[in-house]
Formats: sequence, structure tokens, C-alpha cells
Amino acid sequence: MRLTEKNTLVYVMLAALIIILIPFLIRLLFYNNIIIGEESYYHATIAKQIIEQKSLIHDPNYLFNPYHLVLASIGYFIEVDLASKLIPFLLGMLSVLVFYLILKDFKIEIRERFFISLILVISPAFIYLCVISNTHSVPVFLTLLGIYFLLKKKTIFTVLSLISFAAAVPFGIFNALLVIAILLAYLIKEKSKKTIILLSIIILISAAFMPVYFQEKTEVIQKESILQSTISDLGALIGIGVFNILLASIGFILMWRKKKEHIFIFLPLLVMLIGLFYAGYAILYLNFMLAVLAGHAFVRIRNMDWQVKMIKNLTILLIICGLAFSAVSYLNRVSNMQPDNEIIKSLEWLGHYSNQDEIVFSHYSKGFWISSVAERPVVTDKMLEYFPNAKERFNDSLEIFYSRNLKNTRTFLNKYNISYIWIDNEMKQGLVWEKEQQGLLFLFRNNETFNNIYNNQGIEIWEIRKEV
Amino acid sequence: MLKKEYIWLALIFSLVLGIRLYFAFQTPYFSEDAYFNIRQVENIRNTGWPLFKDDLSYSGRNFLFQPFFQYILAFFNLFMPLNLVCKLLPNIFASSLIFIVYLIAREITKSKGAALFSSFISGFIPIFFAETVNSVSVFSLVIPIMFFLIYSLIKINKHEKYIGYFIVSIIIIALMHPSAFLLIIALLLYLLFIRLEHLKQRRAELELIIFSTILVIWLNFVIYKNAFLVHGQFVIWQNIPKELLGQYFSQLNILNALFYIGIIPIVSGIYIIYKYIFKKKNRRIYLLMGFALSTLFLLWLRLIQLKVGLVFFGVILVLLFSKFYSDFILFIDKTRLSRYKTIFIALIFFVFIFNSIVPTISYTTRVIKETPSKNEIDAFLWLKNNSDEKDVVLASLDQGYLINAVAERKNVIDKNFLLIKDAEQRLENVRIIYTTHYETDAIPLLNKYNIKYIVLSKRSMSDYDITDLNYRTDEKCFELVYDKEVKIYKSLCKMEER
Repeated sequence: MRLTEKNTLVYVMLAALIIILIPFLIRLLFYNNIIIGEESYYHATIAKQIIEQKSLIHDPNYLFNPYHLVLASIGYFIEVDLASKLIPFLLGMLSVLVFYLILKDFKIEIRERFFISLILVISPAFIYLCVISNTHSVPVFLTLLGIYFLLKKKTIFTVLSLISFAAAVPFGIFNALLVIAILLAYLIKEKSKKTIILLSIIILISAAFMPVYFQEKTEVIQKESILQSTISDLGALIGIGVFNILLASIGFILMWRKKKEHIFIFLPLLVMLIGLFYAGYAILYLNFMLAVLAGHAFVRIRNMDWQVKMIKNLTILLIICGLAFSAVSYLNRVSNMQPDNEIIKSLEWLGHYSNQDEIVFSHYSKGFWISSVAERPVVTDKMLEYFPNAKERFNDSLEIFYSRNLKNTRTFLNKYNISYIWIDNEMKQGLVWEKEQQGLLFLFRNNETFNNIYNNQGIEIWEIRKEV
Repeated sequence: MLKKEYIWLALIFSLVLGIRLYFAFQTPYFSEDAYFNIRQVENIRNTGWPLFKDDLSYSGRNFLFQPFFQYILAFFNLFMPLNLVCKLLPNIFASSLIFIVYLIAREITKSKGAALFSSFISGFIPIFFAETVNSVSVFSLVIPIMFFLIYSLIKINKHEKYIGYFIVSIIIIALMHPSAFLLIIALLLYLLFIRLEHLKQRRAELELIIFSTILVIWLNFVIYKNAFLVHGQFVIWQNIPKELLGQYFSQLNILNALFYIGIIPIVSGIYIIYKYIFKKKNRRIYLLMGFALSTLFLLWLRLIQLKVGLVFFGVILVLLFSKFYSDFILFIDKTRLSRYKTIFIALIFFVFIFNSIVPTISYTTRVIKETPSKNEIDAFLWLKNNSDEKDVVLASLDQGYLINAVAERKNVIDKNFLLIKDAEQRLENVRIIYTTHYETDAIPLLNKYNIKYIVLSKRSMSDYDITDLNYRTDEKCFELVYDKEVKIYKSLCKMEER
């Protein structure tokens, strides 16, 4: 296959399209086109509220993110649910295009460009970016766009670069620091006055957004180990494949020898690696860097003078299989992720059965589904840590889950005015309880307090009988 | 005319194999853990495929493992009865280590005497001998192939065919057992030693090591992907319940090592490691040291089971002993003590007999005694003939595989915990069923797992420190259906909720 400028980009975009479409097709065919994930529902709910109220959310507990505005703006014209799928998809495709053009501007050889882009497109983190409605698809695209325009010499492009970076900055402190690091690296490389002006403006904008970045947060939810939260093969939702890491490590060692030449890679890389410890989503940005390093390593391994040709061919085959395996494995996982038909059905049922203000109790990871599909308020959800009484809420929810004292549990149920409890198989199989008849599961046998109103495929809904 | 050393080798092989088979055939049965592999071999023989989806273990579960070893046994089962295959072949494989140790020792020392002595010692590493004599253990083949791979790596510069041998060996090991990771760490440590000692890095070696690393990582991720998703990095500890973790992954201590490996290999191995770190350079010794240190490292971090680590460590130390022995003999030859050389050799030999052969025999005797007895097997056979195919049988953890293999019935728990989400709970529940005084505690649990029969053997009595089931007196709910050395109770009652 002879690679030319024309066909390389086509192949890359085609590969991206096929990879990204697979989960959407599976959801369409087997899951009634249900949106994937948990946070997708949160963003959709906020966007719907913005459309309804025709203004920003005024709730003091609301954590502002520009993505909600984007989602609401596009959701105003097409349905929010459709926008939730279209935005990450389109931005993902555009990100690949811009990324490829950036590589071209860096005069990376065509074959290496091809492999780098391909490695990016099949990486788990990229698949996440394009398939699940998330707050990062917009700033990732804007950051890439900013870099692309930055590399052009004309003033108009510098202005466009400023606009792109400035638009990316409000999405979070990490985005701001990353943009600053990119500009700093460029400044060290190019030493231009334009870059100094650009950098100064970005710093000012970042400073202006400081109050937005730093919202009070109480750490209550236990964090996974660094391995489980960064490696997709070990279960990370936003993660990197093992082979991507392996190749990228080799690429890093190879490029480190010419670190001054590659300052544009290493400085932002450093920021991203540090950011990884504070914000798991830094992987989504890091992924692009890792693709560059991995692609570089792959090409070097391919071009290396091997003493034993058989080993060379076997090794390259293995690497390809390893990368492909991570991708296939992740695609399978994400396509079959919850919520499934049964969960949605139960929540829709709950929405019909219950009254509007009746509060539902469940595990915090289910909160967004309940709020969005059943349209009922919840006690806890994944934004719990931004609530003013987060620790108290979290501890109280643990009490409700694990206490075997009915009086005690009743007190907490009354405290939050809980009308329903929603539980599913995942909660019964380790997420909350590891043993049967543990805590609340034991108390359910008291039918003066709990009435089982729904029980299907492991999903149970219990109504709390009011005390007379 | 056959060379003298080959005759000696054949004699050593025959002696080791003979003693192994003597122990193996002392009982017609196998150790409890062997029955997992026996079932797998049977299934491969019948269907061509391993039993990855099993209706019997845990009353229905999936298995994750590399089935290459089971396929080899199944192949021989085409020509030989299964019992004979499982008794004979693992012992032949394990005994073949003698030849490989000879080859490696010969390369390291260039001394036939040292190589022969090491090969003889390698036949009597207590832990390797005892753990592979009657357990249809995959290590009986993993260890010889692992060391053949090391031999191939040493020889790749001599002839290209060893590259092919290396590649085939690494693929086989990666398809047999996750301990291939130990090999990878060892090879990477070897590269590090080469670098630190400023020795020339051989290109072919480097390429092979890169290839091996990628292959092993990839294959293990493919095979254990689901386990990684369910258990994360804790898959390394095989989802073994916390209660049992200490048993499997106990800390290495010197007494364990002395007993399971032998004093001569340990002392000599440590001396050689010291000498070649601080005084001399030898790339072949570094290869072995990489292996020894990687095993120690993983044992120290409790990332591999103690027994597994000691097996590898033992063989490596035997190889290092060969270097010690040849250096020692050379040293003696240069001194005035050279006339007493034979006495020194005899002394080492006698120390070896007392510190390796005697512990080997006593440990193996103990292991053979712990094999299921005729009474236990008869009890399980009785179950096979007198219970329904769908019945669930409760026995202690160690006897789980016996229920599946001999009684051909579902069990509640066995030693394979991978992909079992409620392993801790099950272990706890089984303990409750055996030890509780109240049938109101036992019956709901029996109902939960649909347990029809409860097996009470000497093993379960000793595990749970009981003499009988405390609630057995309620004959309406618990019928004693089998009463010999082993008792079997039939559970008749169901607990209903009002």
C-alpha cells in the first residue's frame, strides 16, 4: 500500500469513522439507541434545564461547564439526546483531522503520520472521547485547533489561535495550564513576540476564570488505584491500552535523546503527566502525545536493522495484535456498558409510578440515570462531592445501605424524605453489598416499612411506607 | 560407544524417574489439585476443547487458564489410559529437567563432572519433586521448558537453530502458565546486568528478549482480560479470599528455603551471586542471577505463591551450584588439599544426600499420605451412583475438584477463585454450614446454594475442627445416607419466609 498525501488522510479518517461508528451501531441495534454511560445523562439533564429556563443554572451546587452551553445550543435545534451523540462524534472526527494536519506541519514523514494517527484512532481514550458525551471533546478539539493555527505564520491565524485557546481555557484549570504549557514550549522553540502576547492574554483569561475552576469539593468517594484508573485493560473507563504505554515508553526513550528539538512535546507532556494525578481526564489529552511517541517507536522498530528477520516480523505482528486487542476489547466494553434496556425500563416505570418531587435513594453512580430518565430528585449522585454537606450525605447513605437497625435506617430515610429505593444487580454483587441479607437487604423483609413495587431482571424498586 | 557422561545421565534419569514413579504408584489416586487438570484432559479428549464454561464448579462458572499442558496430556490419552498418562507423563517431564540442567551446567562450567553432579541434585529438589510427583502439575513441564529456553538463549550465538527453539519455547510457556512473566522479568534484569557491567549486548539476544516481553504481556492480557476487568491488578493474587491469602503467598524465610530447596544449593548459590556481583563478570551467570533475583523480588513482594517461587529458585540455585562446584574443584586442584579432593567431593555428596534427598523423600511421603484415601474416593463414587446429576454437593475447599471429577456433581467451592465475585462470602458460608450449632443458620445457606449433600470427611473435620455436624440430630432435615470413614448427609428441608 503506497501512502500519498491524499490517500493517507482518507485512510485515517475512514478508520476513525469505522471505529467510532461501531459502538453507536451496537447501541442502535441491541440497546434501543440508549445513551452510554452515567455522566452523559447528567450533561443531558443540565442542557435540557438550560433550554427550558433559557438561562444558566442558578443552583449554587451547580458546577459550571461550558460544555452544557454547547450541548444546550445544539440541543435546542436537534434533540439533546441526539446532540449528546453527535457532538462527541463530530468533534472527534475533526480532532483527528486537525491532529493529522498538525503532524504534517511538524514535517513528520508520511508513514509515521499514518501510524501515529492510526494508533490514536484505535486508542481506548480516543474512543471514549468520541462515543460518550463528555465535557472534554470540545476543549480537546479547541486546543488542537489552537496548536494548528499557532504553527501558521500569518497574523490572522495567530488571532484564530488565540480565540481557540481562549475558548478552551474556561473548561478547567488543567486546560488552562496545558494551553499555557503549549505556548511556553512554543515560545522556547520560536522566541516570537506574538507568542509572548498570546501567552499573556491566556494567563489573564485563566486568572479571570479562577473562581470557576476552584469550587469547594469534599473528597468522599474512594478513588481507584492509579493503575486501575489509567489502564483501560485493567478496567479504566478513561484509560490507555497496555501496548500504547509500552510503545510510548519506547518512543519517549528514543525521543529523549533529542529533547531540545522535541521541547514542544516534552513540556506539555510533563504538565499532562502531573495533571494525571489530579484529574483522570488528563489522559484524554495525554493520549495524543502518547500516540505520537508510540507511532514514532513503531516506525523505528519497523525500520530497525534486525539481526533476525523472523523475530522482527513476529514482533511487529504482536504489536499490531496488542494495539488492536485493546481497541476491540474497549469497543466491546463501551458498546455494552450500562445503562441497558432493563435499567431504562425500570426508571421510566418509576417516573410514571411516582410523583414529581418524590425522592429516590440509590448508589451515587446511579443518581444521574434516576434524575434524567425517571426525572426524580436523588439523595446522592456523582456530583455529590460539590454539595455543601457532602460528607454528611455520603455517610448517611452508607448508614442506610449497611445498617441492620430498622429504627436507625428509618431515621435517615425520613431525614432525606426518601420515598423510593432503587437497586440493581451491580449493587447487590459488590458495588454496595457483597453478602446477601447485608444491611438494607436484610431490612427489606420488614414489609411494614418497605414495599417491593418492582422486581425485574435483578432490578428492584422499594417504596417506603410512610409511618402512621 | 556411548560417551560415559551420557550413560551417567541415563542412569540419573532412570533413578529419579524410578523413585518418582515409585511414589506416584503408591496410590492409585492423585492429589486433590490434580483433578482439575484431569477433568480438563478428559474434556479435551472428548470434545477437542478445554472446559472453559463449567456447569459443575461453583455450580456454574467460567474458567480462565492456558490449556497447552492439558492438550499435551490429552494427546497421549489417545493412546494410553488417562490414569497412566497422568501418573507417567508429568514425572517424565519433570525428570527431563536433569538433561537440561546438565546442558546448561556444561555450558557454564565446561566441566562434565560439575554438570553431572548438578543434574543429579536437580533430580532431588524437595519442593519440585514433591509438588510434581502425583499432582498432574503444569510445573512438571513449565520448569523444564523454561530452563530449556535459558539454554537456547545461551546458545543462540553458536547456531541459528536455537533461535527457533527459543521462539517455540517462549510461545509454549506463554500458552501454559502465567509464570512466563517471571521469565520476562528475569530476562530484563539480565539486560540490566549486561548494561551495568559494560558487557557487549548481543543483538539477537536483545531482539529475542523484546519479542518475548511483548508476546507474554499480550497473551496474558488476552487470556486474563475478563479477570483484569473484574479484579483489576488483584488478578495477580487470583482473587484468593483474604483469609487464605497468607497461606498461598506467605513470606519467604530461610527455614522454608532450606527445607524446600536444600542447604547445598542455597549456600553455593548465594556465594556465586556474591562473587559475580562484586568480583567477576560472566554473562551466563548474570542470566541465572537475573532469574534468581526476579524470583526473590516477586516472592518478597508476594506477587507469586511461595511454592511456585521456591521451585524456580531451587532449580536456579542448583545451576549456580554447578559453577560453585567447578570453581571449588579448580581451587582445590591448585592447593595442597588436592590430594583430598575425593574426600571433599564425597563430603559434598553426603551433605547433599542428607539435606536434599532425605527431605525430598520425607516431604514426598507426606504429600503422598495426604492424597485422597480409598474411603474418600469411594464416598465420592457413591455420590456419583446415588445422586441426581443436578445435585449440589458440599465438601471442604480442598475437595472441590474431587466432587466435580470423581462424583461428577456440582460443588459449592473449590480452589479456583478467578472470576468468582462472591468468593469471600462462599468461603464464609461454607464455614458456617460446617461449624454452626443451629440448623436455622445452616438450612438457609444450604437452600441458597441448593446443596443436597454434605460430605464430612477427615479433611473437613480437621479443617473446621469438628467431629460431626452439630445439627445432624434433626433427622427430618438431615439424613445420614452414607456412613463409613466419610459421612454424607442429605439435606431435606427448606426454609420458608413468612
